[in-house]
Amino acid sequence: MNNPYIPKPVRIEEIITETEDRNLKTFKLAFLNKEDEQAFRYTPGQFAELSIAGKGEIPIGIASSPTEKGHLLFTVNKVGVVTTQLHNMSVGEVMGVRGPLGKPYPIDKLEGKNVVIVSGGFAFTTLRSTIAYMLENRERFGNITVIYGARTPGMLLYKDQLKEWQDRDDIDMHVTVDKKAEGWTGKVGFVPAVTKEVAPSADNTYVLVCGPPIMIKFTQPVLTELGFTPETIIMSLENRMKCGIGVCGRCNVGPNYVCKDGPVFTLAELNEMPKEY
Amino acid sequence: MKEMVINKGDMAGLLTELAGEMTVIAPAKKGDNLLFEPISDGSKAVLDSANTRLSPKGVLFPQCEQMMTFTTDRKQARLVAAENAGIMQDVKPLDQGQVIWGIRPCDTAGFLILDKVFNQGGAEYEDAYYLRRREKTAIVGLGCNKPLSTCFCTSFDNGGPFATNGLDVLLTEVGDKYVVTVLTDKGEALLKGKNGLSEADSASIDQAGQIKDAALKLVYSSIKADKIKGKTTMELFDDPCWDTLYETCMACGVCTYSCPTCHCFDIQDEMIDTEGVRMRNWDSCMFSLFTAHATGHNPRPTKKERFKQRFMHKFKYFQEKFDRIACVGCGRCIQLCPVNIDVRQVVKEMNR
Ligand SMILES: Cc1cc2nc3c(=O)[nH]c(=O)nc-3n(C[C@H](O)[C@H](O)[C@H](O)COP(=O)(O)OP(=O)(O)OC[C@H]3O[C@@H](n4cnc5c(N)ncnc54)[C@H](O)[C@@H]3O)c2cc1C
Ligand code: SF4
Ligand code: SF4
Ligand code: FES
Repeated sequence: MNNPYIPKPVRIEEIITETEDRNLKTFKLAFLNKEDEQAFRYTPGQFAELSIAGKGEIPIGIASSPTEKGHLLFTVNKVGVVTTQLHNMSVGEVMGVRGPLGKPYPIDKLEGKNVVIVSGGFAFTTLRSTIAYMLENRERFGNITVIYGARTPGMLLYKDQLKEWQDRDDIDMHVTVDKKAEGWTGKVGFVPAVTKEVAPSADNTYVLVCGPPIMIKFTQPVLTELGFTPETIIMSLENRMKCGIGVCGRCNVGPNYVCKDGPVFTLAELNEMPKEY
Repeated sequence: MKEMVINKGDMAGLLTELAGEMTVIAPAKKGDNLLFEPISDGSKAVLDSANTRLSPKGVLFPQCEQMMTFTTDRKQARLVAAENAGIMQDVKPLDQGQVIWGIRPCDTAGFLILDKVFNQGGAEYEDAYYLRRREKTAIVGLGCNKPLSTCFCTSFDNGGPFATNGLDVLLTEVGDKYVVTVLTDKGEALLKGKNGLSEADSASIDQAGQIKDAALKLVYSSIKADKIKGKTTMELFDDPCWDTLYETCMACGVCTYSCPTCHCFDIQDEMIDTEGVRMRNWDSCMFSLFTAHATGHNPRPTKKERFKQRFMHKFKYFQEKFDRIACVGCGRCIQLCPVNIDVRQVVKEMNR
């Protein structure tokens, strides 16, 4: 019998410190066994359980895109036991990955539509995956607009990639920081305000929103004002998890398990669910 | 279906004989408590008492169990990684069959509910630990001649004190004998050629029928939950009944630990030197840390939300997902709650 709890071994290939506070690092992982790599078929928006023997497991969104072959990327904020251990590990060490888990962004629904991405802080990870995926399949999507903010320029994730995307003419990038900063020539302002200013059209458009609760709270009315319906606003939840497969009973919001029925939900779906997230 | 009988005096011998072939798990005294325990001496089985203090769910879903083992020798990890270090090895499944002997119909229904949770279809959702044990386990039930005042096993979708769903064999206590009803091929194979069993006489079979009818009448609490399905999640969630029901709860978690259908668990790593095990342990939605994030944020910040979760899960959410209520009416939570919270009362409020 298959045992879905057993993590597959991976080796840490590269560790990138993303932010000036050094609290966010991206881990590039490669499977030790070819079969495991082939079996790990994912779509942007899914997550995996990262396993460190002796410390435990943590659910982390997949930041790489399935179009980037040969490795997986995870960007991890240092907060507690497992994330701290992960931050202390070095290139070459072996750990485990279990997944892919959860329901992805509805890529098939996004096809042929315009896509707006609104994100703040380090919740940008699975949206990085989505953007990379869409750019690799550019002809299948309409306009792509990205609004992404961080406290300071040094707190932005994937800085090199952001530059690359800003230089392209098939994606409309709006990168912002909360306050004026030395050397920063981009936008200044909070994500909801920038969203209002950019004012993407809601026509034939889906919007993916992911960020800290406060950002979501203030962005939602802006989107509604712009004409986005709850069915076209797509979000991702982060409840505490253990099993990741809808069994351990930890992550439910109403009748839905965030790990199995989510983490991606439309606002229309969330409106029918208790606010237990 | 085959009916046999066994004299009470021969039961211990039969169980001892069975224990030579497989693990026999039956109600037995452990200290002051009656619990489902492995026995090798059949005379240790206690079949003439009220139901066990804890449900037998632990036989298939133990309170603590090893999931995998590993070693964390870092140096080795770099050198011979594919072999060894940091890599999880599945534990060995049971190599011997087992039988749960003397389980009550309510607790059997508990397993039918756990079956739904631990096997949600598709290899990626099959809980190997539960299912590997499940397939090696035969289930021999014992009908309840004398249901207690806390029993409500005829409510919801549950079949009452002699329900046979999920059983391989049903025992009915009739005077100084048990009528042994064989229900499945697994049950047939289990009892084939065992000492002490003989063909049932029609008088015993008739008597068993009468006992069953009488027992049904003794289950006097019948709880209605018919209106719950028609209400939306948010209607029930926002119901004012929750504002007071939770108040006396002490969040001790006894209700969840004793319940045959509560299945929440935690996963933890434990280490001695460089050798480790990944364990899973029962957990409880009644505990404040259950949903607490590393950041301090807690989606269920107070006892009220946690109390509500236990009942919403059993009577609403579970029904939405699996089309049945996740309570079998065993009454344990009513008996054991230190502040007399009664699930029947809570359901009555939810069903208004
Ligand atoms: C679907 C999903 C995607 C996520 N994606 C990312 C990501 O891309 N980057 C990132 O940095 N973080 C992400 N998180 C949050 C991350 O899982 C937690 O920060 C992490 O589990 C904390 O673990 P810890 O051991 O360091 O903290 P501790 O407080 O020591 O936690 C101990 C255990 O509690 C659980 N836990 C605690 N907080 C959380 C939480 N917020 N969410 C889930 N489980 C928790 C974990 O099982 C953990 O092993 C995601 C969470 C979910 C549910
Ligand atoms: S909720 Fe109470 S009565 Fe219902 S199955 Fe669980 S312990 Fe038994
Ligand atoms: S047994 Fe009673 S007091 Fe303890 S958690 Fe359950 S309802 Fe609350
Ligand atoms: S993490 Fe176990 S049910 Fe979702």
